[in-house]
Amino acid sequence: MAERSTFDMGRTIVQALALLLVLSFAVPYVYLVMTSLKPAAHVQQIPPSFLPNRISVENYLTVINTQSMPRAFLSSVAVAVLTTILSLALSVPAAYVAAQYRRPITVFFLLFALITRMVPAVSLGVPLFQLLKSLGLLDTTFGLVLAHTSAAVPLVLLLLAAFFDGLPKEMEEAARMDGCSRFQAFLYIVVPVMKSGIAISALFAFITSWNEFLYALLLTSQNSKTAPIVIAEFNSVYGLSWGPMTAAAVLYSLPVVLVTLVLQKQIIGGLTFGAVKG
Amino acid sequence: MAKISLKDINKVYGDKFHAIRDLTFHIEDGEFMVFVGPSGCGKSTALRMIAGLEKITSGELRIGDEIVNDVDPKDRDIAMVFQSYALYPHKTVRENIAFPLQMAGIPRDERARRVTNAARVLELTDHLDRKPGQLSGGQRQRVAMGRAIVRQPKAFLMDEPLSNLDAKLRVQMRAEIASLQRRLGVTTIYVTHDQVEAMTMGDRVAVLKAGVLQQVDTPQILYARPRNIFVAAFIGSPSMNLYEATLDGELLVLGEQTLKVPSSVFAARPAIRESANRPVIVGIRPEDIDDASVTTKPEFEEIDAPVSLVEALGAETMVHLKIDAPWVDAGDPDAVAEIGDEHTAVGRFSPATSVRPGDTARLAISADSLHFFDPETRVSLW
Amino acid sequence: MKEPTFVALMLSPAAVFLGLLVAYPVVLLIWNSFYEVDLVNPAGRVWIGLENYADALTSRRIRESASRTLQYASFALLFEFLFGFCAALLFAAIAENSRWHRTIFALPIMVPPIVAGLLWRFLLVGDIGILNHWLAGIGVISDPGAIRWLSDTDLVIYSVAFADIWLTTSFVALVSYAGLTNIPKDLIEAARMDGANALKRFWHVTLPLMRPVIAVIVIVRGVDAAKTFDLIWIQTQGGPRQASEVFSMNIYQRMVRYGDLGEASASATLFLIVMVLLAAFAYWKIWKPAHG
Repeated sequence: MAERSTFDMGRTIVQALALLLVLSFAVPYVYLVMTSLKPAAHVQQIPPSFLPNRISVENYLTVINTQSMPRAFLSSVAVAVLTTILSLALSVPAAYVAAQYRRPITVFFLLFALITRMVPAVSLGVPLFQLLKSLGLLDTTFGLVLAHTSAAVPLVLLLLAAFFDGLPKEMEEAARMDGCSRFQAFLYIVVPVMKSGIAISALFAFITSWNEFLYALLLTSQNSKTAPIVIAEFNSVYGLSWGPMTAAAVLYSLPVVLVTLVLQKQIIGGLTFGAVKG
Repeated sequence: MAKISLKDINKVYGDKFHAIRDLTFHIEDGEFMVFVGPSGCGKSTALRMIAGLEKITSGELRIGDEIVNDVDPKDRDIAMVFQSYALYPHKTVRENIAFPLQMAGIPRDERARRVTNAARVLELTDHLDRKPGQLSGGQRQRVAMGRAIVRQPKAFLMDEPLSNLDAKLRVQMRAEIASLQRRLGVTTIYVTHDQVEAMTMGDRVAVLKAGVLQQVDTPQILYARPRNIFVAAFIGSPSMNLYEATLDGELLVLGEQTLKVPSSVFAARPAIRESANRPVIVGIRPEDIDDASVTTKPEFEEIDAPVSLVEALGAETMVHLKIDAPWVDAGDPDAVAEIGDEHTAVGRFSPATSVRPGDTARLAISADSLHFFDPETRVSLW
Repeated sequence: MKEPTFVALMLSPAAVFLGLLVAYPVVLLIWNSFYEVDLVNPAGRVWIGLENYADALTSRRIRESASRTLQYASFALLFEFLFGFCAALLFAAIAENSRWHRTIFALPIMVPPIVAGLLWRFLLVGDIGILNHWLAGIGVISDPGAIRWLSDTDLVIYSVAFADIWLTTSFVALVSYAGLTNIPKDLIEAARMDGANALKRFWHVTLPLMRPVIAVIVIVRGVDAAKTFDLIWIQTQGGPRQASEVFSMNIYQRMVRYGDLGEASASATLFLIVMVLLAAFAYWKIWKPAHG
């Protein structure tokens, strides 16, 4: 009996600790949401309160009614969608042969992608600036898409290669025996079979672009600024207006937060290139 | 439908591993040919070269009259059933079976008609709209068969198609595939490591070892006249017992004991006369060894051997015996490890036997069924 | 189609793209690093060989920013790992009941760094930062102004790492949790039958089996933490008085604000080389042996 109750007590302590840890990590984001819902005047009150005294959408209205914000959001969506499409178009075929046709060139290629993943963005920023300038693509959506795709491709490539690694070689072989060329086997059989892996990779490409800051800062100035840049600029342009800033931050992060909550397991697998199965 | 012929086919991986060596034989139109051998013998490699999935290093492969060494698999018009079935998980059974027809550009209604037929033959009609993930192992196997037969190809290639099924289903499917092939009359090459499958299904069986063809013949001939000790031991279960012995005139000296070799054996195998007074390898099939006290064999020679283990199976009793003569390794890497470190001979006794471990049994050997091999070349003496 | 042709065709779009947008810029970067470039007149470049590298290696500000990067990355990695691994162990202890814990804990994992930086700046900043008000409320500090997180030059490099820790602890936790659940139960039970207590089981069974997982975490997180730019930029822009200027920010400032393309390129090249070597070292030393 005595042992039983120490066991129960140990369990309760573990439960309580886990709950405490989880709450302490959730609280900052909840506070962000709460703050964004306060009337603008209450946001910077001293001492600060956790909950709004009354709910207000004032901050959100301010954000939506600025000139720059809605445009920046649209720009972010456009850049992220195009980056996703381009990244997949480039990576899916390459990752497939890299995983299923082991030979020196494909191994070298994957290694190159792995090294690229480690290269600091700040090192590539200025040469990219020079390159895009010479191509006349500075401050254009397409130019930023190219830069974001260069960041997304190594990530997506390694992720997809891990997915394709799990695909039995017989899939392609069976399709070829059934009358497909290698390319038809890839298109009609491999791609549909791997669609969930490709979808997860697409999500990663999208989020890579959506969250990217440094390239957007360097490579855009007027026309194609993305939302993170405009949110960061809220400081200087509108003074220290914390209220609208929190509202913009919530608007920008909520979609990815919700996706994360739904697809948590797949995302964890993806974050480690499938090295750790979730 | 077509004949298939291989001439001096070689497969070398990198420049080190010689997987197939000078493989030459013909498969007749409509024939059911089985490739059998232990793991790593090259049987699957040979099949995959015929399929076009593996490059042929040298030699000449013909399907029909055409040399197909460099023809893409899709243009060879042959169907293949994979060990893992390789069903397309995102397609229904119907779509899986229809896929080769779709790729061949066959019109929709013709396609539907043929899929319905194939499904009826394979008893899959009720499952046509399911995905492979919802099927049992046996049903998946049938879908894989369906994908092959729906197309009426020049040949079927089957790579251990039954090895993922449980023992009972395997026996049932074995019979079904054999009878289906006979009905369709399509040239078939079937790869297996299971000699029982090979013997029961094949019109002819090709035995491979380490990339080299050992013998290709009908099951009856393989069993009765194995060309060398590898084939002798590989075909038949339990394996043939192989021992070093000497021929002294008409007497076979096996350790301390002798048995008389009937004149009919010398008549059938003139070559063994030349081996008189020289060492030979003698092979005795388990079914040619019985308990002398209860046997129904009309004629036999008798020797004694201590019993080490008795396995009563009901219809027969397997008895492991210590034979006092040097044991011979036939070279099958998959052969089951013997009990402890001693090699025993196995006898297939009639169930009336009352021998127990530790007894010394009096054996009845059917001396007219003895096999003899040259100890140097390990080739059968005829 | 022959196999090599097929492989080449499938590989080439990505290869050409990476060549053009990664390999070529790297070459351009290294090329720039040998020149003295005048921002006003970029055409008037002067080849000065390794002089930029010599300057970079002797500059005090660069040296300080490099050591700050190290401080930042090790501080962030240490606490991410500590919190994350403990969380994973807690979740594993309550196993089947941890689904909701894990879901909520995963919340920050994909939050844009810009949002995380903003949020933490708001939590820490001057008079309105709620963290100090809470700390004062429970009596840890005397008054809400006692700790000046983002304006104390000795403290700021650690304070800006809070956002990083918040953002990525869940990554460490969930990856570790996945690793822990992959350890076969028989192994732990066998160790228990052999008489190992909980601590010994952890040390001799769990930890060695977690080695590849830990390797992944240290490589991925260490490299990312050392590259951090946006998270710190949004909180302090490197201030006050460069007290939170990490290496990537130093490179950015010299390129964009001071227009010293040549010298910035030299540091950026060094940075790139160190990161790749670091990753290669981690890969050979930790990952390779663990994967047999």
